Amino acid sequence: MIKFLLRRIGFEMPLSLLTIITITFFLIRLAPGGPFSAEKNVAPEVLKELEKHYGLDKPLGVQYLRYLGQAVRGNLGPSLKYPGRDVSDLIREAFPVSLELGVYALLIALVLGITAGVLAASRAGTWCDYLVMSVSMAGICIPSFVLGPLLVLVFGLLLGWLPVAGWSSPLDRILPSITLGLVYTAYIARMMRGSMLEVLVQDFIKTARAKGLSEGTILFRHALRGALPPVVSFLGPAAAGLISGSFVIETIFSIPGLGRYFVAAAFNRDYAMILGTVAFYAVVIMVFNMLVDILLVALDPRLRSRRA
Amino acid sequence: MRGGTAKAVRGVSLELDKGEILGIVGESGSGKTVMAHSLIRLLQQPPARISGNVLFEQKELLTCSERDLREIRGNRICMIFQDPSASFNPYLRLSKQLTEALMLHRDLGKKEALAMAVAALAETGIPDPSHRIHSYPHEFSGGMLQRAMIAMALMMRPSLVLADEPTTALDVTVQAQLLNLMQQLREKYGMSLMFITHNLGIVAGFCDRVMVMYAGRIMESAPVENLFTATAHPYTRSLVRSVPKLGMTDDRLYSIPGSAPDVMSDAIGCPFYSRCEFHLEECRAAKVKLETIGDAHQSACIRFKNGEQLW
Amino acid sequence: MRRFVRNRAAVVSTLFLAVMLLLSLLAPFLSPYAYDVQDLATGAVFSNGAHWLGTDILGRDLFTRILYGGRVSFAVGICATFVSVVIGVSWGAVAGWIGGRTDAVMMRFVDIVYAFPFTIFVIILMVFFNRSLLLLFLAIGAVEWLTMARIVRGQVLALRKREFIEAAIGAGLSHPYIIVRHILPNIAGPVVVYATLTIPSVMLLEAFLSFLGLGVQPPASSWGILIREGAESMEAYPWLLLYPGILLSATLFSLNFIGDGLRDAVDPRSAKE
Repeated sequence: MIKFLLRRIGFEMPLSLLTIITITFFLIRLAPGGPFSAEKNVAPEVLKELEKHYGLDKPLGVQYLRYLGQAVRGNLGPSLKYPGRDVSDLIREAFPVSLELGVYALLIALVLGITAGVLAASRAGTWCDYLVMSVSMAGICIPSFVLGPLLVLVFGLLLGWLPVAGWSSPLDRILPSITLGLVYTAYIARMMRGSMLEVLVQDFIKTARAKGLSEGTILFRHALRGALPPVVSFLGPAAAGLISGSFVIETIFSIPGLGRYFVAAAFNRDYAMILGTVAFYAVVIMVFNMLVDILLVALDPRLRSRRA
Repeated sequence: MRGGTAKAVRGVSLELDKGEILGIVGESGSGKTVMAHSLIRLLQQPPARISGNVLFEQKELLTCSERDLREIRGNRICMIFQDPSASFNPYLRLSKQLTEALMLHRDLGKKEALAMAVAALAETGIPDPSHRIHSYPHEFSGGMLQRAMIAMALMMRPSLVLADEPTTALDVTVQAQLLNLMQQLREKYGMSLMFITHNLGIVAGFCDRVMVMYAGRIMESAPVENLFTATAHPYTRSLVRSVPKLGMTDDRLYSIPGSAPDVMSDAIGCPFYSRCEFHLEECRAAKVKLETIGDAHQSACIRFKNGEQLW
Repeated sequence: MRRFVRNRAAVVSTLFLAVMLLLSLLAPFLSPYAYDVQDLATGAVFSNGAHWLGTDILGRDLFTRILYGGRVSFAVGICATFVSVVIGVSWGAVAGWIGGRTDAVMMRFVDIVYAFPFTIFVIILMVFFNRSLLLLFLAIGAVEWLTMARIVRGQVLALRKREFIEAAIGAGLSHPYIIVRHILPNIAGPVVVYATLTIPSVMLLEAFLSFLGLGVQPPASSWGILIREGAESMEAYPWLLLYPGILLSATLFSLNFIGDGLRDAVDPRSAKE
């Protein structure tokens, strides 16, 4: 187990990270236009000065290596669009916001989704089951950028109960988290239901019933652990989805998170910011996936003693 | 595959006395497992439908409340299942699984329950039980797990144990040990045992009374001695003949020609008709009902019921 | 086929979808308005006799815009799905056919990519390169091929071991020939099912990109653009958001039900009950 993790950290993760950084770097550089091409009425000499200042006049290969060298030491360079601010500073400022948003969304998804899934599975075939399945299907099919504005309309503008923008008061957290998390609630509910149904027909559940245990005990002490692995595996792609989701949610709700910065950086062609953000996201995802894999092994004792 | 109702058990009626070991014998598909499961309502209804009465210690099990049923399950009636490696929860330690019934039904605390469970494991011959109880099921061999399953059932000192082919998944030496064990425990604690198996050899050395099932019906019921010496049904006779014995001179094993009837069909008459070497025309429409033909001996074969001696 | 028809939700969905497709295709004939004709005098108006679904701020008839938007959304849906099917089937077939080390590497790649938000790259692509429809198809298709690859690889792996394939190889037939003639027809079932399930994901991604301004470009409209415009002015004119939003959701709903219905019909073992 330890060996597997070490290999992951020492070899696979750096390799993936390097690949992603390289692809992104050359992708954005090879595109037509530069960070300052959108600005009209800039004298060519000023343009040249700017390029020199940011080291954009050197050959591409040199820029690449310089970037890597600096990045390894944690220096992701200055932002091209926010003069005087370093990319790492911006990330440090913005990421905690997105992290908070993501954590709330994920918690909502897990708590609601697992409960709904277990409920649906224990009452399979009844109206309760169909209700959960239909609502979750709706959750999957209503895009966050439709739901978000809708919730804003109803709860923010019409009823006036909740704030619709910003991130200052605790109430601000509610609508964005719900909007972001609802899709994953739906996915998790469905997966949980399917998984529970599979576990509930296994022999050891019959044994538990024959011992006179209550349905609740059977569901939560015996069945749940066996049903969790697919949901846990799903957390990896879910995290990726939460990141993409944040681009839209943070835009709709005016949240100063990393997602919004990234979209802005893309539009502004802020090379350093784009690269830095992509690299950062890559690391976050990889660490998260590693934790998910560890959790999977922790859940199933059979995976522990035998390592294939 | 067409839809329809599979009638796994048809018109089964039986009685079990205190302290008695009743053997239920039949091929796979004879309905014996379904019957056992239905006794404590282990089948999901729907899609299953159970009709009839199950009277246990003056309680009607099929119609009593869920709560009452759960009181009895794992407490007054314990079940031992066929495949121990599938019947234990792979995600929980044995300690958890062995103590839950104790804590639920006897209201014991964790420590006391654990002590009892360890003692029960020791009783069934598991070495170093106080350590091994904290292991996971996959860390045990099949034989050990089945001992644990037996321990789990017997430590509750139930009135009735339902054992569904408990030794089938194990090799012969382990089988013998476990049967011995169950005998000893039965003598020690006086419980009744319903032992389901397809193995007549086990039945001969172990059970007090035997019931032979075929196609969901009981074909013959007798004290064990009589079943073999005064066999009163062609099916039973075929079963007995199918068991290879030492000293046999034929070089072919006897097997019953034909195959078991369709479990979906509603046909009347004796289900064994097409495979029976003693069948008559009237067997086709005859009522398959157990009737007493001798001392505590019942048969469903109309020829025996008419008093014939077929062999 | 019969099993599919028994699934009521799927049948209703198919009808709905058929209606939507038909309306979109016949858009030019169904409405007296062109989709970009502005009528600034009228401004935004709620549903009335002249404009069934109302108009937007610039006086453009919403019904018409939704129909034309539907054309674009469906077009992107189908084309991008086609791209993802091509990539997914090729990848999966190669991995499943060759097996061994190559298979392990190829599928590990899929695993790694699966957990990374590739929408990031799509965004970068669309921002930096020419925002053409073609690029949109390719970019979206490049994100959604993964599940298809997994499915195809599983099927090919299983088929590879069957006798008739062994026989074909033994008879000296070339591998590409065998793959095309024997393997592909046998995986057509699952491929169609998952393609149907990919379309809604693709359409969702397109709407997502359009919402950010990176997808289809004005003056052409897609449902994503309509939703964005609706969101911008929803306080005053909520129907501008509601109509396209509901329609998009309903379409995705139908596609998912149809896909589920197909999957249950083709492989009842994978039915969720």
